[in-house]
Amino acid sequence: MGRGKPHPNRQQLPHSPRLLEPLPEKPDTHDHTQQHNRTHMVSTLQSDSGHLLEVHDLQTHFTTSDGVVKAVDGVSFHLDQGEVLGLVGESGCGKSVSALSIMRLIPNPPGEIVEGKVIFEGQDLLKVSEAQMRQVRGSRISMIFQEPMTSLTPVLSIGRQLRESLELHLNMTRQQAEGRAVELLDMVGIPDAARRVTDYPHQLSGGQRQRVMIAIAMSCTPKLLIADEATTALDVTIQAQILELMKDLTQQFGTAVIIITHNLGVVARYADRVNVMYAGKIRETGRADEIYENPKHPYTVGLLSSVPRLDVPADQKLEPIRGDVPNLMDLPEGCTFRDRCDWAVDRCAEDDPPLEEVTPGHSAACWEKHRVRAHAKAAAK
Amino acid sequence: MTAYIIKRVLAVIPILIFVGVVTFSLVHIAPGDAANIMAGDYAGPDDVKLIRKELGLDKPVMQQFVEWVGRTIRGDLGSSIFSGISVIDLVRTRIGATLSLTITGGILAVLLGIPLGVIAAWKAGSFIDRFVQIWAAAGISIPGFWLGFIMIWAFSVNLRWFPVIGYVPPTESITDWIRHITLPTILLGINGSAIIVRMTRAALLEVFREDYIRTARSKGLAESAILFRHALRSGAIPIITVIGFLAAALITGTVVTETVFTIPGLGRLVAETVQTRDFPIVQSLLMLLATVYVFVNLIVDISYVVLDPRVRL
Ligand SMILES: Nc1ncnc2c1ncn2[C@@H]1O[C@H](COP(=O)(O)OP(=O)(O)O)[C@@H](O)[C@H]1O
Ligand code: SF4
Ligand SMILES: [Mg+2]
Repeated sequence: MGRGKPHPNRQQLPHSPRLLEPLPEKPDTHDHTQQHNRTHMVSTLQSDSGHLLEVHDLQTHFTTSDGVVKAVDGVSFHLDQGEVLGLVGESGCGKSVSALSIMRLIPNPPGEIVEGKVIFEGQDLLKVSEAQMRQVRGSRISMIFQEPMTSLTPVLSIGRQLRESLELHLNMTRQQAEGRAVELLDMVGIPDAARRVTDYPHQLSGGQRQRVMIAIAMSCTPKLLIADEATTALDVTIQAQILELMKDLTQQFGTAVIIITHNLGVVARYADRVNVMYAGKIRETGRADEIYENPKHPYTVGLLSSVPRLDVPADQKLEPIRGDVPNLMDLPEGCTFRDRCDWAVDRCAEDDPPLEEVTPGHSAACWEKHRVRAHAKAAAK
Repeated sequence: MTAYIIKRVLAVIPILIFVGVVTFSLVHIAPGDAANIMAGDYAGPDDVKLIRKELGLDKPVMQQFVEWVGRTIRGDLGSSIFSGISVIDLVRTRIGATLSLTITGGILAVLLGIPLGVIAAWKAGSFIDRFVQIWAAAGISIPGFWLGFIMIWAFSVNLRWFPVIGYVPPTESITDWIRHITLPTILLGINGSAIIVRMTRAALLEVFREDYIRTARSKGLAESAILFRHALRSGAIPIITVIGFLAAALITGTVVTETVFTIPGLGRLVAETVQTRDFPIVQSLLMLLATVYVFVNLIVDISYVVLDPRVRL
């Protein structure tokens, strides 16, 4: 099962022959400006709190002709070195926008980060220049996206797309990068890597393309990997292989992971901690095993009963959460989950519940959080 | 890939047959008859009949068609019913002017159209984009003959920078050639560039929305690398399609341009012979222009295969 307790310094796996040594921070370079920046970043590697990433009150809005969508509305969380954080919620609740905000890849217009801090290695990414941000992207923080079919440039060979990152961030020469590209493909389990390196994306299967995406993402040994529904589009066996590969590599490189999914089962297996998002806000957060065993928000309970679980008899039928995700442009007063909630009380219509601690390290935003149980539904009322 | 190219080349045959049928039908169904025009206003019905017989117009249409196809395949493009000059000779003396115009106009259209389209897409919604789009809308909607007359009036008649009419081949005098083709080239180029701007902008905007552009951004690539390495390469395929459209725009454009600027090229020949119902020439010229167009598009299609690894099988 999971990786156990949160552990800032996860143990390195014994080296299997296929896996490579992590790369040095940065090889020799003649580029003085980049060198300078990197030195600066190393000197402020960790913030005072010691977290790798701290997101404070992040708010990202989209202005459309119909109105303003508060896609991310005051999200705060943190992540330690090497930690795996799950970000779950139904589609449209702001997971991707949160991730893209961290990367500062929100298309503007229509989107804009209107508020908040994203402190990564001690530096507020929302304040650095675009040029500095480009040095972070793909190098310190990388991202894997959902659609393996469309996420690679169709007219460039996969080798070329791998080399690109190596030449840009690690200042490798073309020859060095070519060699390394083959090693990376080999590392992510592409058979006959030396020959496949000249292939174009359409010549690979979906799973292989996602392996290439992982190779690109891990090529510069990032400190943080954001996997946005990276396996959702794949079939179940391939999905498991890709997740295992990501787990192996990130553990070996000491990379922290934000794993975005609408599948709590995936999170329970791979994440140390979980944030449950609904309508642009984090509604529950805590250790993965804790959330799984003892959910305190009705939405989390709903998500759990909509995926197969090992600890529930297989004949118990899966129940999707009734109703739909509310329109983010026109959210109701009070708790945004109210219309779909089996526990709702009068107060829920008036006040939006704040995220409050239930037990140390486990918080939920629900007025009735102390009544909520995993397997008891409204009947418990 | 070879199989695709062979298939594509063979597909030209039915297209040309279709074009031939349409060309022949248009010329023969259109009202007005060469015999009437030849006979003049005072001729009686018997005179007209005699002329029709000489021209072979009294034979059944099917037979005329078969005979025409047979002659065309043998390379006999016929000759003018008025002057007796063969189509081949007419084309030989006039193609120089038309080639000059279409090549310079086409180059101008591409040199203006692609960069403007790229800039407009890259800065979509900006002031530059709006300016470029207005340019494109004007270039497409302003009638060529009107703009042509304005240009003649402004630059040739008033400013006297350029000659008003005519054409001098480059073999005679390079400077006179340039002076004669400058305005017509600009006229053709503006119209062609407008079409290219629109296609390029639309194609690139589509590419910018692709997931792989977001991937490229997430790798930390500079905007220029994203544009030139990832977007333009993928966008090149739809942009090349434009060249096919451009060929059509240039071919129709030469008719107007050569008429306005009184340039003795193939375009003006088409205009003149359509008016006089000199049908052997009209048929052969239309067939020739359509064939050029079909082959330009054949080349465009083949270049897709070379450029796009997904089609390259
Ligand atoms: N480019 C965009 N333009 C307008 N609205 C957007 C855009 N991207 C995202 N949104 C809005 O943000 C909300 C959250 O989207 P997203 O973060 O992609 O959800 P998910 O949790 O499924 O990843 C969506 O409901 C959508 O309305
Ligand atoms: S606050 Fe009320 S409506 Fe919202 S989740 Fe809790 S019980 Fe349900
Ligand atoms: Mg998403």
